Amino acid sequence: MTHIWPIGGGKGGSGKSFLVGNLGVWLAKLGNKTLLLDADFGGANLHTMIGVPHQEKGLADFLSKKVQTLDETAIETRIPNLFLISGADNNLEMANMAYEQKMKIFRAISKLSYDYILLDLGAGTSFNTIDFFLISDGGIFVTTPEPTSVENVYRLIRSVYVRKIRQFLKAYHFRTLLEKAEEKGQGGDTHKPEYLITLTKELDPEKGKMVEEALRASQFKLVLNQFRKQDHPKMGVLICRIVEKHLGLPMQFIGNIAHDDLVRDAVVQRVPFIERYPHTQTAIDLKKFGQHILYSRRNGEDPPPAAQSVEEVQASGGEE
Amino acid sequence: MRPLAELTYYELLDLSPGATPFEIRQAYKMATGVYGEESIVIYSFFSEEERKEILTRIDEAFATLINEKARSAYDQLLIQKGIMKEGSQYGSPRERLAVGGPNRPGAEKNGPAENPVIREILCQEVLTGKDLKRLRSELEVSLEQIAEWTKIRPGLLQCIEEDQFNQLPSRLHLRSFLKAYVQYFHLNPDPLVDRYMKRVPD
Repeated sequence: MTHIWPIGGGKGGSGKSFLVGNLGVWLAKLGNKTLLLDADFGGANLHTMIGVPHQEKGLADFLSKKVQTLDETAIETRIPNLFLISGADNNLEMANMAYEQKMKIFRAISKLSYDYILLDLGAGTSFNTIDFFLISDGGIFVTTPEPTSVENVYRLIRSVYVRKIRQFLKAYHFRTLLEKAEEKGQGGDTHKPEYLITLTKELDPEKGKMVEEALRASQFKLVLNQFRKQDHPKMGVLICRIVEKHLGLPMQFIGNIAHDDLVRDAVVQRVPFIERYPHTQTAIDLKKFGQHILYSRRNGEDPPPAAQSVEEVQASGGEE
Repeated sequence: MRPLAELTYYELLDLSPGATPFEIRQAYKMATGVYGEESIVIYSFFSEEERKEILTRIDEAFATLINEKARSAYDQLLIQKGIMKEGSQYGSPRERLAVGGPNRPGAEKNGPAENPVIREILCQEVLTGKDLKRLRSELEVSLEQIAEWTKIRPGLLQCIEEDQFNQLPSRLHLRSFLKAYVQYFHLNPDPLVDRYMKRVPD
């Protein structure tokens, strides 16, 4: 079975490519056949993160039909078991890919045979990013402990949420819903997903319930990257709690990844951080992150080691 | 999405129905931080209006849950609505069994500070053994109950209440015994202990 993990975060520079690259290296080194797919159309640089400067092929070749299957665009890296589908040669139009092309990529991804496929998504909340995020029922949101990043991750979470409602209601019903929302109009609230859900429940309780359940079945996760000592240690848990409580979306906190100035060094040297500096706190955090992904079984039969619960946070005072 | 009004006070504060007053205070403190103006955790998530509305409701939740009478009325309401199970509320026989701990009395009264006699005692600069005894009887607690919970033998507790200083252990030990005694009433121990210790000869 192939595990597909989209990784996105809304804000540029929050470390999506860094996490995808290093997680990929770690998974591959454990013997998992792993594919990294750079889905940051328009800003691809995953190849640089793992030190593959020259790519003879990439995603663009598949869309331009230069090659027949998506698998053919995958290149080997110098790490055994680790493969990359690069986005480096993406042309300008790819950032605004047509719906058909997107579907073509989705279908192709579902046919790939790897143990793990990690999707590195671009910043922003374009439909491309969101649809790639929804390719599997689990996705990983990345944020750093800064207001700008938190703001963007919330924006992305809400966009993903709205898109899920839309997927579920089908185009026609969704349009009706939006019109109704405009009619009832509550200022800026009309497009907030939580409002749309409440409205759906009002208009059609049965459907509303179904959408709610579908949303509850999703398995989103959150990682807090570039975590510094002075940051609130429970921030990630609390963010997940807010999303669960006020949006009704399950969100599991994976953990903090420590900030380290050496990350820049590794990027400049174009070697994976986890290989170059394996004994830093950041590398240890990355491995924990990897372990979490490794033990996350999709069907819920084997729950991953739980990140800190709210109760524990309260027990420890939570006043930092 | 659950609209704010649909969240119970317990859900709002992330508490279980059997939460102790101590846990309620902790949760309240945490919630006011999370939804506070400076909080990064909710940055951009709510409009200013929504945030204030939530804070108001958090205050409401705290005021209700920390007051035993108001809380039990609220619990009854939730039980009637079928949101909460009978027997899961704080202080109910089953809950007490599950927790295994004593149901300490300070919380059962409408908060010790609301009783005029207790309030007067708490305002004193110096506390005598007699004051402690008055405090205890005002809260309708027997010496044995405290002894059982604190694991301090009743005889010693009696000496504390009777100011028999020559019978009492060293200052250090006495302090910790006093602390346990006062904590049984859910009172902030340190200032009260200090006020008692003022009279204890070195």
